[in-house]
Amino acid sequence: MNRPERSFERLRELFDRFLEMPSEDRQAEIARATQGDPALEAELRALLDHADRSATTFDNATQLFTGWTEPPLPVITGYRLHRRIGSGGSATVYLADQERADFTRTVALKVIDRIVDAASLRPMREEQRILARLEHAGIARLYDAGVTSLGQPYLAMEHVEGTSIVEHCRARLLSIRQRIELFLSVLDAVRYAHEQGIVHRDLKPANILVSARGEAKLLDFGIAKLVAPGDEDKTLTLNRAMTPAYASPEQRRGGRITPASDIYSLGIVLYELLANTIPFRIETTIYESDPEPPSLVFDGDRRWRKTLRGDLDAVVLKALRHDPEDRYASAEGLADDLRRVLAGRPVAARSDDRIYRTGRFLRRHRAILAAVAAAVVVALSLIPWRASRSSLPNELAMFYDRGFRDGAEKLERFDGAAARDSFRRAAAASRGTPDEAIAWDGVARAESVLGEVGRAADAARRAGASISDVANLPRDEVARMRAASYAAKHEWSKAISEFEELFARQPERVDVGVALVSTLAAAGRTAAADAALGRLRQLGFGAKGDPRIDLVEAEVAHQLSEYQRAAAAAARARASAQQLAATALVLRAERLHAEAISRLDHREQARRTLESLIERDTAAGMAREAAAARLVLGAVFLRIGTREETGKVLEAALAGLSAAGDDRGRITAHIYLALHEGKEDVRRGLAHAATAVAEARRIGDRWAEAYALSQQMVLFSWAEDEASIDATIQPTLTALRDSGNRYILVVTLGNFALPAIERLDLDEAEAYLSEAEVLAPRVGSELARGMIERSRAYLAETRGDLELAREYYTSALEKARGTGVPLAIGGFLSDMAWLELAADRPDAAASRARESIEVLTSAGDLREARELEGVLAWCDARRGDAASARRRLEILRKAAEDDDARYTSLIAEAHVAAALGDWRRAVELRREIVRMAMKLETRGAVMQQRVELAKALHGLGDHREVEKLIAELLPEAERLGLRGIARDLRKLLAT
Amino acid sequence: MAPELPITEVLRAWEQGDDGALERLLPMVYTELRSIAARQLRSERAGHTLQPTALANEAYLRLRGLGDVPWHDRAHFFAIASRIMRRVLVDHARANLAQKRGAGSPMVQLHDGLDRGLSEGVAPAMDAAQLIDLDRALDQLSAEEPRLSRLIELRFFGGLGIEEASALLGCSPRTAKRDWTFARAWLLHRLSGDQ
Repeated sequence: MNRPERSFERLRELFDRFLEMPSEDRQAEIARATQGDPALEAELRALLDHADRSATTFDNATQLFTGWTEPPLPVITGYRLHRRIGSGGSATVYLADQERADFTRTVALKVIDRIVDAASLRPMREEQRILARLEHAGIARLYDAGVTSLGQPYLAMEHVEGTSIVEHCRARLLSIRQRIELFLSVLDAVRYAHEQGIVHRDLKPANILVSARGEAKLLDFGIAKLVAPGDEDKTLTLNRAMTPAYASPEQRRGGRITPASDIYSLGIVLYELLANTIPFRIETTIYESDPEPPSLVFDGDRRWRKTLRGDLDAVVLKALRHDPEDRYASAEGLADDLRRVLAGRPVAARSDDRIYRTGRFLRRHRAILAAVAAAVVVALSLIPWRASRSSLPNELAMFYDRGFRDGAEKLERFDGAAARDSFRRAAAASRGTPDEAIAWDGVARAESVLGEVGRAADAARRAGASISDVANLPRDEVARMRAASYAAKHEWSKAISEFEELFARQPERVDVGVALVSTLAAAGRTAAADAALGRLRQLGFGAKGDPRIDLVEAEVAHQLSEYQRAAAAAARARASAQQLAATALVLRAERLHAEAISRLDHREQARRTLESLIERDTAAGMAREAAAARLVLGAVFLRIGTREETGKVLEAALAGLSAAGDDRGRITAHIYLALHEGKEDVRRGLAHAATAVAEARRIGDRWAEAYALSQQMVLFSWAEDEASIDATIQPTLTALRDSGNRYILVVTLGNFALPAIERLDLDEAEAYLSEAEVLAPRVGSELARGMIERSRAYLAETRGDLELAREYYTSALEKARGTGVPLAIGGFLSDMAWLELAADRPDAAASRARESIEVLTSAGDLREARELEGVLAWCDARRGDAASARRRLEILRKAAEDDDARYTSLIAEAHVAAALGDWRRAVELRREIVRMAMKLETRGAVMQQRVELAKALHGLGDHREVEKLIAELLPEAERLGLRGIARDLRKLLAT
Repeated sequence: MAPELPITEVLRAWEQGDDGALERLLPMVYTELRSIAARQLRSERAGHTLQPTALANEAYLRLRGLGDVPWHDRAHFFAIASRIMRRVLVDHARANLAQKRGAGSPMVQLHDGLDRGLSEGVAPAMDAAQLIDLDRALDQLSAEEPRLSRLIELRFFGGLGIEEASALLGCSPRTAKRDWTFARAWLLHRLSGDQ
């Protein structure tokens, strides 16, 4: 068989050689080359001859055989086809005239690239009938449909002349406003079709043509469904031939198509209009991640970028959510938000972001964020002490001397209600005389016993106003009444200086000392209040069994967030008051105790106490106390209650406190309501916060103002209202600085640092923390200092400086242990557990995790405790106990009820996979996590997860991918000052 | 209609290098194509000649309509279909010729047909006899150089352009053009009764 082959090859070789040669020259050469083989020569010549004669261009060669390149025009009765005007993956479009008896019109004939049999035709006709009913200026009409002679379906449609919407906007250089307005007209057409029950299924710029006059028309509405009769909601695989860039994730997966799928496609088009580019690079994995906001991608005019930021980004991204449920439900919704953008009003798209964008770290520590306790400190503490039982000066001497024996006796028994009535009658009786002031003072004291701060203040004001015949009254009493009156009018400096002077003159007057402490606290000068309290105790004039000092200590301690101390003091006060059978004081002490322990996370216990307390307060006629107790209960419910009961009790508290004239209480109620409402409706929450701020300013309570501002900030962050956040940071810090309440200032600075860290605005975070650290030594609260250290630890961790982070966390933990606040202790322990996981120290991680779980479980934060199972799973995996690790992961997975929990569960799985060496799975999981992170988390978290992905890819040995990823991450890490992370990335590259 | 999944599997096997996979595909689509061919022949259009163009067109549409088959594009389809088409047409031609043996049919010079095709710009018709001759010639060519035969098959029965065909064959378009020139000349030489 060799010879024929050699002959063939030789023939071929010679043919190729001589083909290029002009035929004149060939003859001699051929003869020479084929010498000795006549057969070969003859064949060669023949072949060359044929080749010469059929020398046409190769591209058209197929025409010789098949005529494929220009298939004949289809034959359709009633239409005269002119020429092909376009072709897509599954159809060809011709320009044709529709010839009917009475008229002729030009149409676009779309001939579908398949053959259908009779059975498929009926549903098609039905569908076509529906489509033909679509009559809208923005939708190209469907006139007719049928089958060609060959059996191919065709559609006769309105012939639209125009360019694609993207091309139109680009060529005409339309502004963003103009683009949006044009897009709105498109949305109107889509809305109309959706109302008729028709989904387009294939929206893309090529299907949205804009005429020279600037009018948009949608083409091929619902055609995709027509082309696949019987496929119901599934999309055609024929679509593969079309660009997949505009299809929604569910379409690509072959899932259910709904109007939301159209919204997605429209979102891509809108994105393209705004950002001059489509949101994805066309890769196979494009659908796996959410797009970058248009404003970040856009690299054109800077003015445009500013416009795009914020609301417009949010609108586009809402249309592009993966889950159809998360998108706009209708074209109308999208249109409404776009109109709001144009009008400069807040958009709906941003309200659902708030829960997520606070970042997981902050979400976990939300309790600490709002940990700044709003102590409902009594503005005046005029509770008198019984005279007869001690050698101390008779605080009620004045009343006895002036003939108000009845009232004084009632006061001695701490029978506030009876005393009040008595003194009221006396005040009425002595109107116009110098005694009136004294009577009113009596009323004030009686109300103080009952805890009716508002009414006590009113009475004190009236007493102050009625002071007429000064000479006739003991000098110190006058001074005291005046001071009380100032305090009642919120003229803090005057009140404080009067009380201080008085107290200096009469250090044995416990009631004055207590009044001083409580006034300082009410003015927000907590450190000073604490100092005064210390002095008071030191002086030791308090009689045994006198609950007043303990009561005021409980309130001051609460304001300092020293809950152990507050609880202890309240318990002591309650015991003493019980001894005295002073019901009113007992109730008050119980409330303070309940408030303190609720902060110590004994919430159920607190709840029970408070509920009973409310009943008893009401029974005793102590309305304000009952309202105050409700307020505390509301705070407890914010953590552990249902939405309904929280709302109810807070509203009741607000009403009660307002009626009782308790300003600070009212402000606090508004703040709690802001946090409560804000979870569902940010706008309502913001309204409450604004009210709180305004009220605090009105009464001049800097502490309350600062507190209200800091909580308002939390709501702004929920509303993603960056502008407002920016605008309020400084005023809040200023108010805090002015209030002299360093404690809250320090805590707030620590709090502001956290979101900055999550956003990777590390310089800003540094600034806050530095200022806080300067102030910290003078703040009485270890917890506050602990919180700064915790923020420092988080900053270090974000930068990748794990050793430094550990140091800070350890120190913070010590301080938290000191305060005994389980939420803080458990929270810090949890942070450390995750840190040790990052530092690859399984034993340390396990120990921290176990302790944290214990603490958090007993404190009732089961969610955070459960998440630590993830750390323990990783520890198991590191020890090689895969079975146990998987069991724990299963627990996590089963319990995951929302995106947040699923996210955490996936992270745990990814850690375990890496620990078990299952790099493939680890990579898979990390990719999914990055996807979710882009949707749920802040920049910091996304960066962190991408770094983890790089590590997993490295473990897998996919060096190409690792390099690619690190090439993106490293410069960013360096730019942001994430030293540790940059170091780790470089290490990965090197190995 | 032919079942969907088996075709997918076969195609995948073929893509992964199992040349025999196409043979397994044939029975699945054979019935389909045979009925198309029969219908075509019955039509008024071209007498008793087969027009590969129309036939391939219709076959393509039908096979695409088989749903869920992952045809990447026309080229992919025709890489497979061209071989099937060839088989179907030739079989049909044989059957046809056997029927008409008595009547006899004019043998149109392929070369003439080509000339006519050039000047009139229409796809030339081939009658059954020509088709059988072509088939035989292709087998001969295949014995010498399989790639050349495949090229003709792809372009004639599949209607692929040089670029598409070269991509499928795994050679450069330049090589494919040279191959085409040679192969066509070689075939013409055989089919025009030079020998």
